[in-house]
Amino acid sequence: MASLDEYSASYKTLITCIAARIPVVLWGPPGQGKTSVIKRIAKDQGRHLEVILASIREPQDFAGLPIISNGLATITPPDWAKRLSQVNDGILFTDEVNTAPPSVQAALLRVCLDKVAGDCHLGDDTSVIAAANPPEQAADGWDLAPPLANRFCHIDWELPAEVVRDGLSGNWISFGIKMPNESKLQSSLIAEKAALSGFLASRPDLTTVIPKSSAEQGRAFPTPRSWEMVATLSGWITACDLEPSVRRLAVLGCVGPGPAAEYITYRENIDLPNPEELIKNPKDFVIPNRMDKVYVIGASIMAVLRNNMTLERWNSVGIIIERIANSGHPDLAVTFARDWLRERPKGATPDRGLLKSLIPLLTEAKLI
Amino acid sequence: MSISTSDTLEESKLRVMAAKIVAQGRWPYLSTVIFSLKLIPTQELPTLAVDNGWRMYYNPEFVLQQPAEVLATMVLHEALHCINQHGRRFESLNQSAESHDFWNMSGDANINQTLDESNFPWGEFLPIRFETLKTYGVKVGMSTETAFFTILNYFEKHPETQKKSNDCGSVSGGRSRGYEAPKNDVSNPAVKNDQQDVIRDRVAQEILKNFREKGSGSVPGNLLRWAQDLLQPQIKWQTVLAGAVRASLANSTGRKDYVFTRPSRRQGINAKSETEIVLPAMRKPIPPAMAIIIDTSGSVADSEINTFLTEVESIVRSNGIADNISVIPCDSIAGETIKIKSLSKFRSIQLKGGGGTDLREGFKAALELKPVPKIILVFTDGDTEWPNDLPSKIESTIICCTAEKNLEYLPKYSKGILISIQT
Repeated sequence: MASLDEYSASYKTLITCIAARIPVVLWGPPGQGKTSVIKRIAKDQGRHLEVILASIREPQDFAGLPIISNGLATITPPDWAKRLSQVNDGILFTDEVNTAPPSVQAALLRVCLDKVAGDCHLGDDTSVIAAANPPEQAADGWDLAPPLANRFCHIDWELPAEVVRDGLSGNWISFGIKMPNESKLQSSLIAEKAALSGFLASRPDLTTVIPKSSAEQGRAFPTPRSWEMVATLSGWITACDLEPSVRRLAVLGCVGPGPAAEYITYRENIDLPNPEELIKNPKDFVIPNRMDKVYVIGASIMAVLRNNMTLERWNSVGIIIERIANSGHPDLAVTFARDWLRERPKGATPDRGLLKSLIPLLTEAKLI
Repeated sequence: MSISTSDTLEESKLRVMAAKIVAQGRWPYLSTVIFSLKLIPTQELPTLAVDNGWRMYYNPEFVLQQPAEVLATMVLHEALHCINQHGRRFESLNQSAESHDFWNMSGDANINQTLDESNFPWGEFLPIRFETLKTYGVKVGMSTETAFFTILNYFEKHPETQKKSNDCGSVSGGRSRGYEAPKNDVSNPAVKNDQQDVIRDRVAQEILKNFREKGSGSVPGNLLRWAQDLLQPQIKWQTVLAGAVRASLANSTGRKDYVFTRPSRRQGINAKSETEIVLPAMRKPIPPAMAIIIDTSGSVADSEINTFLTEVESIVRSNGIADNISVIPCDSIAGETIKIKSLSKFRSIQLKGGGGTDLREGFKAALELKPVPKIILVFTDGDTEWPNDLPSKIESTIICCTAEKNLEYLPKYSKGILISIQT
């Protein structure tokens, strides 16, 4: 069962997808309040909502109905499509997509990707949401066809017990995000695209990874399209100042867990100070309060030092290690000092102040 | 216990830090977790503990009695609680807080198994191991969840048994302990949940990277499996098999779907009007016949066959292909074919066999069936010859193979699924 934190993250990821116009699919057993949450979000954002059950629809309900008149066939759009095309910022919610037969799923492709039903354009301001029951839980479930699956951000949806408990007494919890202003959003999106292209340049093998089994193909996997969705969503998340857990879910929902973890780590690392700059100006080093960040900085400094070893650079790394040691993290400092001492260039002597702060620990750990 | 002087406080802190350094040297890929543990000395617990914000509490007197090498093993123990998410996993079981001791023991046994496999020293300290929990029916290698329910079960049946108290702090779940710092303590900040997720992802990547660069043996098997589960989750074979059967059904028959190639039953309604709407028809041909060839040679266990058949039963049930299924037992020759006429028959299947394997005989027997099956499902360990080509009347072959080493030798025309049945 999900915890409240996880639910809040899923909820906010959903709102972000809707706001960013990224098609989203909610995976979860029936009865998890998916429809009511979407009605609520539509109401909060003042947007027109159309709810359709895909499993009881035919392909022409999405692809348009062919009508022969005077020897010509025209494709007539369904009424919901007409309504969505007439309003601004509509939301299309398609429930039970994976219990729909393959031809209906194929017809849905065009709606989700191009936002076109029949010959009717729903408008780019329309958000597309789908809900699906995991195939093993649905009576007549299919795996989502890979081309359709790849157009969605996938979110697992499960109600935590405490949400149900409060909800039954009339208080269904909901979450909101603050909409970003346009200039902040644009700069976040540009920064995110730059980060993503840097990442894909370093890991080109992750650009497209098609999973082997049909069950995995029905979920998130990396393709240029899903990476583009990552850039948009992650940019929005920065602009809205949302928690890291929302970013994790959103990225994971687009490209799957392995590539998502790599991208998020890469992203965190580019926010860290450049190790070469730090070696140039070791006194400017401000120690982050997150220990895992201090560790990553230390490791990157040691890596660049090994690449280009001079007496001056070695001494400068000594100053950084001393700063780490004196900020209350002598254990972390020793980990780097161990390698640092091993790499000592000829004729170099470690600074006395540094040794003084490290010696008790080095002795304790039986390293000297 | 005497009151610590500032000297013992200082010394004990050094000792724990030294232990962290030793621990980091042993498993460098855990660095980010090990150094995220914030140190807080306290007299209120006898040994060591970690809370759900990854703050590590230690008794100064206790740590000073431990050599840094031994303490390093304990630090790794706590770090493994952190990455294994024992807290969140306990919460998701929805069990009473009182049963938490059992959960902690089960988690400890699992963690210590990993540590023991690397031969890390424990000194005089007696850690909980699977053997310690033998009296409760716990077996080596059980998952934390299975071990927990086994112990819970034992105490339900033997309520008179003396409970042993055992606790590693709220990192392994349950309520906040008395000695723990408040959640939003500014001087001892907790690592937030989503930060913990990011760190866990980072550790898993480090483990996989280490494995890629230095090969197996450089990472303990349990840690490698953990990292793979987190970042490259394997879908259960049951799900893959169900998907493969569904896909075969769809491919071989176009089962229950809309087609414009045939007129709709309702097409007549508007035939006379000037504008004519073209409606599709629904097509659902008779379900194809399916044959299940079961390798009954000596190397395949009966219990595995039963588990497999139970799974197949539920798959065919949910796909509505209850009839037209034949089961062909096969070792070096094909045994007598069993026709399944109703699904309950699945449970009463008795298969005999033994000795060598030649599944080509099973395929031959399948081709003699009337009607000829379009889908063939094979259950085997893969130690067999295969037909060179797919017989023309058969549209798809799914081979469920229990031995990973044979997976790459399966015929090209088939879809192979690795089945791991835990017994």
